[in-house]
Amino acid sequence: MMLPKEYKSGVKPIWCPGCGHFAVLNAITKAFAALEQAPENAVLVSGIGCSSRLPAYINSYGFHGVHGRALPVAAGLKVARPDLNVIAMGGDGDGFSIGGNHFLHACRRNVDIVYVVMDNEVYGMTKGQASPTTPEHWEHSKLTPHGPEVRPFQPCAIALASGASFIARGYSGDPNGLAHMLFEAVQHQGFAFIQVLSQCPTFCPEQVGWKKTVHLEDTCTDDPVQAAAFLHGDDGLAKGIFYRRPRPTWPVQHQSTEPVNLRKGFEL
Amino acid sequence: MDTIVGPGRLFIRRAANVTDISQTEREPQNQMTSLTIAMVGSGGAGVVASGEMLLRAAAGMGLYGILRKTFGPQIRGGESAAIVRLGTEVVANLGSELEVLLVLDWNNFQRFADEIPISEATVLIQDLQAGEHPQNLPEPRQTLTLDFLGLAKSLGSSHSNLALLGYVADWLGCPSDIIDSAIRHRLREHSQETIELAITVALGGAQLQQDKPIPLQPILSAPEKTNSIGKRWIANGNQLIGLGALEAGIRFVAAYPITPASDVLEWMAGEIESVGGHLVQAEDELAAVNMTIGAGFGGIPAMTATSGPGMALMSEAMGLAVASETPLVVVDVMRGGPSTGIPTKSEQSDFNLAVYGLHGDAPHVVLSALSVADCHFTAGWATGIATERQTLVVVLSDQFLGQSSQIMPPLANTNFSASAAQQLEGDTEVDGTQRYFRYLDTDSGISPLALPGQPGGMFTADGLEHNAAAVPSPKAADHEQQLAKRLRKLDSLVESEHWAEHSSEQRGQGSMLLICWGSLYQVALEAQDKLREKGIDIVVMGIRLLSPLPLEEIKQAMQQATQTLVIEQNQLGQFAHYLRSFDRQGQDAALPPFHQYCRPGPTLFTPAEIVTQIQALIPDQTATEGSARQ
Repeated sequence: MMLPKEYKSGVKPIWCPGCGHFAVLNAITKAFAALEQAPENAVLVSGIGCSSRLPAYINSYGFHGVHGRALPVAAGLKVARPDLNVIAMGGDGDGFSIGGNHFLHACRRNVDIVYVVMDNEVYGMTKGQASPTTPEHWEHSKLTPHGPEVRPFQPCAIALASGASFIARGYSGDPNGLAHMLFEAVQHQGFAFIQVLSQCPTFCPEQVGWKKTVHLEDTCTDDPVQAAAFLHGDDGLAKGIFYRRPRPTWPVQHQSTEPVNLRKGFEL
Repeated sequence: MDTIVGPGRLFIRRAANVTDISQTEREPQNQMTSLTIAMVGSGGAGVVASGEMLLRAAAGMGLYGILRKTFGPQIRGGESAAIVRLGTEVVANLGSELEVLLVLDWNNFQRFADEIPISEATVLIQDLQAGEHPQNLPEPRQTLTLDFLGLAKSLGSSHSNLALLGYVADWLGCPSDIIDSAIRHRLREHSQETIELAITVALGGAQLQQDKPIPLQPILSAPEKTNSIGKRWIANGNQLIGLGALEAGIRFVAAYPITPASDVLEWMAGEIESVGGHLVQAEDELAAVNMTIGAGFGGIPAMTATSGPGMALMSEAMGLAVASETPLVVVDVMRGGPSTGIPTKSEQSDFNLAVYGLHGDAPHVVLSALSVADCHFTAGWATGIATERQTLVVVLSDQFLGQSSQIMPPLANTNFSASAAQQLEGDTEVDGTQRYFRYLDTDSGISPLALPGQPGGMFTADGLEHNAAAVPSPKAADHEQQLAKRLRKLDSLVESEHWAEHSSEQRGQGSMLLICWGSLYQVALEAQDKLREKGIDIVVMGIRLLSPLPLEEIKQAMQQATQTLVIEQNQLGQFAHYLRSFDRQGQDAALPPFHQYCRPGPTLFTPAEIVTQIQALIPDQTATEGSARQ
């Protein structure tokens, strides 16, 4: 049995003071402790961005890949090594913009992995550009001086429409609640998606206000129609496990084929 | 004019009433005797299926051969052709000439007329319904117009391609039981009724040949059947890539469909589960390559297969494999480019992408398969290198190798599996008793590899520059150390005996040296045979290890040769430029000057074309021997 702090690698995070990702890091260590996770059997896979640095800070195996591709790396690893607990993670730009297509297909494919998106509605590492989840009229980026002028992406609704079998939203201001969600997500058989509202005090100081506006919703359902109704009426600041409906995971186990002579088909 | 035939050789005895305006009599010894037949129709008319059946029937007769399928980009209604070259020894390229052209439909023929080398040596057989004969074609030796479609219809079928098959198979002297079994094999998933009708139509075609024969008579002195049946394979390069990879231990494939690589994947999809692996059809090439990297990180040997545009999409993650030192095999079955280019035709134009296409300083391995059969060996070698050296290996095949079916002797196992398994089953240095340095700066450059699940080996693999302990680091010293390590671990590869194939042990002593890579090697070997008949000796070098390049070996061979010609099937002479680039590394490394001959696809290189190029470099010889036939 390990303590949460024993799951930290000792590498010092590069994050700014007050960054929400510290809380996500702590929540993961708490969830691992609760799961009695053998560190060598967990792999954290990430893309590029502030949040994607997290695997190096955890005492487990990790893979820090290229921008937007955490999900394919994680899926390939899990299909090849089903014995491992594979958790993909990253930010909102990594997951919903450059990696958006993989998000759709990971939800569809339902490989048994967890995907944690630390959503701060901004590209922090490139110094504050708008991301897919940035509010339409957020005017603080030089790249989009009039605001993105595009409706924000709705991660949970899209996850539902794409076939995710576990959908939750957590908040960095509530690491215990997030640790609980992670615990449940790891236990879930299939693709489990957690959007974490993880504040960026540097580029979006207004997110400090989330501690007053984020609200717990106890709406967990296995009915996709009910979940869709809730998510389309959602203000984006509800937290909780919204949807959980196990379905067959990929790869489907086929009846074991007899070992074959690979060469037979070439013989006359 | 009749010609005596040596034992075990296929020979063409030309009908007495046909004037032979081709070259002088062929001497049977030391020469591959062969015959090329093309069947042309609209897409969906079944000429490619007929080609497959003809190849199988020829194999049943104890012959060797190769089948090239050529298509337009449309699935149905475009143009298609099957070109079958048969011989009594292994036939590894399509040769230079066409003896028989059978045409069911002239529609769209012009779109690929360049690939069907009609000459005055060709006998043309056309269907009565084939439509208007195109203008500007070379005049064939003789033309026969026959009613294949009418014959098929009279037997209750619309498949004139089967009448054509029976017709040409009968001309080759193929016994009816062999053509029968070739048809049954090809149509094995069809109803009994369909199969029986197909056989009836083919027999009708055979009878037609008896009545209206092709005015050329091939005499087949096939080997004893008992020696050949069951001891030969029919396979294409794409399938053999799959076989070589699985036999060497590949157990994970992720890929996205693309012509002409899809059939690597389709073959593997049918087999990989039976050896305990998985194949994932990914949402795009970006996902495919990253899934493959994920599996490789997990210690499961993994590959993907694609073509130029797909590999362009993969190139960012290929750099990740290099930086994170994750084993990865990427197969590129090259087609005409850039962009969608000519997706169904062959070209060697992805050399630059394979060698130079990665961002940053990213040393990696590039191999080329030197024949259809060599796809098997090269895929196995690639798997061994990737796992042993924890790096990216790109395998360059092309549409010709990938999609040409060849009759061949059974291939030996490549024995590359052991190194793959040993390396990835765990490393004894990772025992948890001391701090583990994933990217330890070793003499060989290869660091101890821990796999997820191993206590004591935990690390985060990183595309971000890191130090020996796998901690992210922007320090100059760490960057230099890790760059040097990743370069160094490939150094000893150039000592591998597999780096090239040579046509002669002397490697160019006193002769001209012809350097090529990929599918051109087999064409060059036949050019060498033709030149020998003319009294010109050359040495052919087919380079399998394109990067890192065994420069000293190449330099030595060039220095021993009277002169060197580099040939390749791309517009810019991509390999020749690469070779020349090493000339700038100081006097010690200076290479002798060399000639280059390069041109793009989609038309294949022919032995005659190479002969012409070489003769042009040897003025005395060309004056006495006359120009080569094109």
